[in-house]
Amino acid sequence: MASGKKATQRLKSVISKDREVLSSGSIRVLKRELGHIISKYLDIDKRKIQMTIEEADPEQYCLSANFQKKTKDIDETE
Amino acid sequence: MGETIVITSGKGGVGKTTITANLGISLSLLSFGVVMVDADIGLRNLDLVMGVEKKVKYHILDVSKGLCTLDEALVKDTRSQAPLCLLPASQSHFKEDIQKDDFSQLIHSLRKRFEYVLIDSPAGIEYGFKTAMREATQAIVVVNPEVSSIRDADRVISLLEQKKIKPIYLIINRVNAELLKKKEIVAPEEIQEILDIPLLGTIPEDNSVLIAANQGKPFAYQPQSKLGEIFLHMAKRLTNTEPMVVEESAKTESLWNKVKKSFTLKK
Repeated sequence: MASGKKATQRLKSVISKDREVLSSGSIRVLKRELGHIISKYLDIDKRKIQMTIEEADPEQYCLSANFQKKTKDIDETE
Repeated sequence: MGETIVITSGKGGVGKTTITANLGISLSLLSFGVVMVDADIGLRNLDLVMGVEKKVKYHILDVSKGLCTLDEALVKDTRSQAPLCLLPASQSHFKEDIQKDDFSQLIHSLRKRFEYVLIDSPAGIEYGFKTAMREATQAIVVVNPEVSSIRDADRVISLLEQKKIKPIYLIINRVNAELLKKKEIVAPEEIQEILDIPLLGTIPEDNSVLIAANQGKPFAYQPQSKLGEIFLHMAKRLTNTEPMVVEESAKTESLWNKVKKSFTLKK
């Protein structure tokens, strides 16, 4: 892979992290609780949640979350 | 009242001073009255790049301390037909030696007299940067196609946005054509996509930039040269007489931008 592409990937990853306002520990807990609530309404795979929370401006935070639909081969005990 | 544009970057050594000098000249070639303020107290260089170092008698701190008038400190560039001046920084003080209120008052006075006040900000995000951006109505963020420069620029953009400075423009400096062709650097369209601010222009890596700085003869004074032309276009975009650059990939919204916009309303 050309280093330009690698650099772009690394930048996107690191800048996403930089923009986060919660520690990774708090994010994990929030993700788990959010997954628990959402799963009451949608058939989602709680292990595959992508979530980011950022400071949009001095007055508000913005939360973005992607939930993956549960597939049939997922262990239901998960 | 004139526009106050802070030229900043976060990371040092990306070419802020060269860009301030040449953009100031290009704006003056378009007949705008321009003053450039060297806000890098203790590390004065804008006078050298402009080639007017021998004309410097007073500096910004002399004005703020009442040791001279603003007019006495302003260095006039006689090569320009439109008013083009430089307010030099002190070389023997520290960033914290100028009070933020005094700096703001100076900028306010300059805005009444010039159509464009260009502030060459020091590197970093500390006191010097905060002072420099205090009175800005617009900002230009300069980046090199390097990971550290781009990451620092992202941080600076968020600080400028918190201060409600808008618009914030992007200049990508020192783009090495050979490395770009080999895809060994982050492409300008990728940088714009990541930082998500309007692109004022892209400047290729060129030895003539170094030679011009060495000679104190800014290339913008040759608007027919390749680099001079680039700066003239950027000046036109800044003054809304030419449309902004739209990179091909930016015309179609990417997944990265869609994801980002879904949680960052700030840009």
